Amino acid sequence: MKRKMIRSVFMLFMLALFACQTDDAFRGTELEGLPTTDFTLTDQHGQPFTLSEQKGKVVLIFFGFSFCPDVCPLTLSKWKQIEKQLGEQNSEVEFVYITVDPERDTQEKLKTHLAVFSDSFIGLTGTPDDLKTAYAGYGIYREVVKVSEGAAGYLVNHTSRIFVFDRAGNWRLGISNDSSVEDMVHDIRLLLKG
Amino acid sequence: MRMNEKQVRGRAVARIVQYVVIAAMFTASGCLDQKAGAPAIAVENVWSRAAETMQHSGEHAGHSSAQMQVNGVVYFDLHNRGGSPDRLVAVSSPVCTVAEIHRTVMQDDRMTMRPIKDGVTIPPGAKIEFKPADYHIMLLGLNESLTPGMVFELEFEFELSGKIVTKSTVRTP
Repeated sequence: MKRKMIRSVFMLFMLALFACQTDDAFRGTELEGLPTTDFTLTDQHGQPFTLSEQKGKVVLIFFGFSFCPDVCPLTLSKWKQIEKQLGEQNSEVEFVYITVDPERDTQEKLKTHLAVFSDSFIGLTGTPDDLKTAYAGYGIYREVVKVSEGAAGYLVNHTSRIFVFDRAGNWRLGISNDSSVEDMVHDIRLLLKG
Repeated sequence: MRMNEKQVRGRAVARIVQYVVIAAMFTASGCLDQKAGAPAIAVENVWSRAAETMQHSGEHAGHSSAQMQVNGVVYFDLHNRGGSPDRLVAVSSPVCTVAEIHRTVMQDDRMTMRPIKDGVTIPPGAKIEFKPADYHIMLLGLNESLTPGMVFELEFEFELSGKIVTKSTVRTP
């Protein structure tokens, strides 16, 4: 009888330990030792934004374009929900959207587009060279596909992964944009804990 | 000339027979349709994500039309409760210049989107979901902002079922 009780307590202990470990593990893909490429681009208000100056905050970066009706706004919708769930911790997180369509995404366009979701999201564009630095640094796939005549007649296929940087400015995680809001909030909170 | 009772009764019977024959013909035509397996399409759960158009003001002077263009999206379920397939061939709406059927395909972490020019076939008994990161209607060149709670008209065109007019409700993004 006593042995049975000891066994049960031991199993409960192991289960609790397993649960704790699972909760402390990232749900996105951990990227160890990958170099962080710094860049400076311009935000939707005309202010410069440099990645290395965001140390102290957790930074999420998504590459998208405002012309995109589906996956890009879906990601921004998720970010909006994340922002809500983070509550006060939100001031320690930056949500950064870098355009893959600088021809059509002017600062004003990014401003109008992002304001639909949140005034605190940062929309970046820049010179072709500066954007190239950011794209190359994070291995961004970007392909312009013509779908009809005229300047409005193209789409941009692109990398949809979300890049996450810790408070020290290290590139720490890659999160699939189809991850749940709960999983993303979980990983952000883990990074905020430190 | 006055009809006798027999003639009146005969006419009444003839009229009843006439009605029964007409009713039977209607019923038969319905049955024939079902036997031939006509499609029965329903467009359900139609919604759009909010989108803000650019204000045509001095602030945007010098912007090209492509830079001013803002797009929207429509998601819904297509249900075919009939006995044969049908095909969604086109969609239009007064809120945009052009509406196109598109599909997003995710390959690893790459997002590709392409127009579906041949339309989308809905097999009998099937439900096809137009949903985020999959099939969707791209509303190109919105004429007005899509604000949460707003309801706007959409016209779906099917190869066999013809036109179906429905409404989309704009959701908070």
